[in-house]
Amino acid sequence: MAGILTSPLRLRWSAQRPGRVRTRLTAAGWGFVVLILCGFLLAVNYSNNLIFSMACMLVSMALVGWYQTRSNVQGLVLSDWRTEPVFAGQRAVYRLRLSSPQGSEHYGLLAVAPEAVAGAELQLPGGGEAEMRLERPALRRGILEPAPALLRSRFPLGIFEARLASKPLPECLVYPRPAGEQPLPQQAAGSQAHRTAEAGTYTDLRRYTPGDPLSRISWKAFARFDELYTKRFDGAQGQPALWLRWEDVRAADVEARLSQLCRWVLDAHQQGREYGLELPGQRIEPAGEAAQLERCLRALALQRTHVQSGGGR
Amino acid sequence: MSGYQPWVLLTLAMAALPSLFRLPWWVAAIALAGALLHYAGPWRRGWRGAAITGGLLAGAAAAIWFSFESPLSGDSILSFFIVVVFLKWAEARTRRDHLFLIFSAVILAAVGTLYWENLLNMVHMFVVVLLLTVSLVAIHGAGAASGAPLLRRAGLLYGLALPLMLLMFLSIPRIPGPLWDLGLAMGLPVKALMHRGAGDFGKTKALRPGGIFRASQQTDAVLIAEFQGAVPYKSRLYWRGPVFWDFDGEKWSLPEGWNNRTQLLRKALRTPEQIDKELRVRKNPVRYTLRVMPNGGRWLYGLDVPAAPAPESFISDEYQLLSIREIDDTEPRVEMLSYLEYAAGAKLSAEQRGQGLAWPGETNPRLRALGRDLAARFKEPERILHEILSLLAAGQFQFDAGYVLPPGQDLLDRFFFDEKRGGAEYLAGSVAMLLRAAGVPARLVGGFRGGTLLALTNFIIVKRSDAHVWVEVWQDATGWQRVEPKDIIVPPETTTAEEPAKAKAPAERLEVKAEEGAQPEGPKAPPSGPRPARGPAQPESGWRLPEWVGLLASLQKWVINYDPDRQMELLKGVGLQQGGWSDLLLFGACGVAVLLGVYLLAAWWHGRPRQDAVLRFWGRFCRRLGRLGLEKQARECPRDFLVRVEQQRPDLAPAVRDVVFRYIDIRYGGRATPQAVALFSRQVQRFLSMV
Repeated sequence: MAGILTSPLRLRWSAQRPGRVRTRLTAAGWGFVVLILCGFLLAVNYSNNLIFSMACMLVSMALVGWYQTRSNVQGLVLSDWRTEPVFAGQRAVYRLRLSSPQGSEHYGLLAVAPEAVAGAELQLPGGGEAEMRLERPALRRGILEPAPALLRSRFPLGIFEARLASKPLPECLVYPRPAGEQPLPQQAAGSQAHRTAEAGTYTDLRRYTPGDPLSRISWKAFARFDELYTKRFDGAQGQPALWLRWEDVRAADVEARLSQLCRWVLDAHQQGREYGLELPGQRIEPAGEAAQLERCLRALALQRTHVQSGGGR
Repeated sequence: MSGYQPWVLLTLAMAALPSLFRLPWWVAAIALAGALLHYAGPWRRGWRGAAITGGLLAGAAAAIWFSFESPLSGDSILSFFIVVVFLKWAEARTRRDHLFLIFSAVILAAVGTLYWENLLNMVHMFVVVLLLTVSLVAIHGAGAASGAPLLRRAGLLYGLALPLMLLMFLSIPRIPGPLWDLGLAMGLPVKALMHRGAGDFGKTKALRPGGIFRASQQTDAVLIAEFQGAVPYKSRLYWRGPVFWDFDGEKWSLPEGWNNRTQLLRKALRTPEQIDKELRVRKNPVRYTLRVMPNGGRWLYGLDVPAAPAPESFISDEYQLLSIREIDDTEPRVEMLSYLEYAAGAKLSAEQRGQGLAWPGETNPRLRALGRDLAARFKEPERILHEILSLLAAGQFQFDAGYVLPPGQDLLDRFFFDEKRGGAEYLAGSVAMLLRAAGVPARLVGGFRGGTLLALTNFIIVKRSDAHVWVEVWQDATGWQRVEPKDIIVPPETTTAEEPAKAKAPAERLEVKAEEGAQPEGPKAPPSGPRPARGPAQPESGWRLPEWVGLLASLQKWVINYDPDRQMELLKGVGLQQGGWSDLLLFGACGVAVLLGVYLLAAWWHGRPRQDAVLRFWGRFCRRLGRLGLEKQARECPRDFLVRVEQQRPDLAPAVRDVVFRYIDIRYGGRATPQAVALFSRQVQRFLSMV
């Protein structure tokens, strides 16, 4: 309760243990306090019992509202925040699943974090699950630092705000903004790319693991064994792999170079080609697939700026 | 726009409703216009909307100017408030606007109750607060709650708050207003609150019919006394002022040189020995500190009868506490000792006896005849006094402070034999004159009686509205003794507190209270019967009142007329004997804390972590297997675990297989029927008893 009195208007991002609930007065709550004080002044001044009873009613409503606000966020089970890498200039989207195993209903839940754009207030039906969303603008390439986050609710009266600390927002990888007009360089890396994702000759069957494409599931086997199996193929031959090199980019700025490389990586991936990436101090061998895309983008995102002089030669 | 706006409008309209009926029609018209303007579409936000709002506001200002006597009267302020609130509604868009509106609505409803204080108003007040709750929940429920769930939620909150409210209402210490009284008690200079020109009533030389009533119309403070120890009953506090001997048939006046310092000082009782000699009987000493507001005279209004010397002041031969200097703009502070019961006066000089028996000419013949008749029938003054008081008691007199007899001849005759109705000056005057006619010396004492107790403190504020006059009788055996004829007619109040109606604020102090003067207030109709014997007024018809009327009456008693006395009664009922305000606060805080604790407990019980039966039994099953050396690993799914058990303990396999398959069926097979759960738990229990 003591926390209510100390700086109630400003969000304080003190280290609040996840799962702990704190309650404080909101701005509307201060208005309510003023209302109660007015009521008591009127009541005392005119010795008016009706206004006395009204002021007492307002106080008791605030008290009941206080614990109801608290219990509105208590008993919530929060997962960890999840996020996916974004390109600079986009907004990093964080998601959090919350559920109420006790089957009580929760209203007016909102996730807040510093510099974050809060989503809409959320209602959680009894025993149900919901996903909380939070967006933070990712302005620069690199890593968006972790940040504390919490859930808050002002339900039911808006006088008090209960804050349930969630786990902090994880760091988020920010890829360079794809930009640049240069076409894909056409230096082949020598050998032909091997594209395992393409169909080819059927080789064998293995147990299904999540993530296998639906088209590869052997429905015949499913019908027989009542278990899922995935068909495997030997892949197809693709175009020769590309080398995307730091030196090939014609741009003065490090960031502009990285942006151009990012654009190339994306283009190459879209065209379904295998590619390798050569950065100052780093070399990624040609490969295809989503993993290669991620690996390359990650390397671009984390590329250190001060190597510029060595690599820009 | 959003779902809560109708609720906000409803709250507003409900709060303003009683006032709208009372105020001129145009207030309602402008309020309606404002309410409709809100729904006028997007153009209300443009210049047209602004123009309309401005026009309405200007119209309201003009109407206030022409409709009311004063633009600052209570009604005009209330009208303006209503107009502004509804015009604000017209342009309200954000959540904050609407919050502001519903808070204003509550203030509006509170101000509305200042005009009437009855049960209907109470219901109205609670409806407004309920609507406030619904609006708040609607505003903060993120629009999810609407209709029945919203009402259920708000109703729950409201219902839970009611018992808390009751506890708080009963136990919050009551301080009788107005608040500036409190300021006076706490040391605010009285002058700060004094009206100009009000400070010379101490120079009044004569007591005219109706004078007491005129004085009682004023609520300026006269003095503040802080008692050491318990405050005596209010009815026993007589603040002694001028003593009147001379009656000319119409008015009582003070003798020449009544304010002459030299004369007064010569006759003053200076030493304790003198006082001891004068006071033949003295009982009930009280010690107190007086703070007297400037009154233009010397009056310090010591409590009847003062008995200790004090600096800068003296006790006159008529037992008044007087200041040596006239109190014009200082605020004297005197520590005093008084005896509430006394008989005083060593001897009555022949001159004084003559004065005490004087009769002005041939006035009031009937009274004189009656007095002579009494003198003939009874010898002892004691018996004569008793007879007169019996006459008063049997005479169906009415105490009516505001009633002034038409001036003319034989006022007291007309009062005593014909009208039988009037204020203290007629009553005391006729009793004094009757005593004189019967040969018993008597005189009139003016001053104040009672005062306002600042609840739960030892402060008494005496105001000019407490003005009073009583009789003193000389008997050779005892000396001067006080006779209070008013108590014969109106039973004395046995409480220390002021009745709430009297404590209400004067109309001119805060303009909101405009109708104050309209309702006559007087002792003849005390709004709260402080005497337990007098219940709420019963209708005169003979039929029995239905049950709910009784309930309403008790509501009236416990809510509307609740006052510090009843609060103390309640405290005693709970078991606290000598209750002070700190006891009350403690009692209330404990009560609230206990009740809130019960709520929290209930909420915790409702939301406590519950493990379902299946998981509980599964846990016991796994723990038992673990003790047998077959610990289930976290990575193992039940089926893999089963395989391992079958390999290591083939003897247990059938039982384990049964339990595991039932578990899988319930957990993952979607067949979690109560029967399946019951069977599963029975199987687990069998397994546990078996192994």
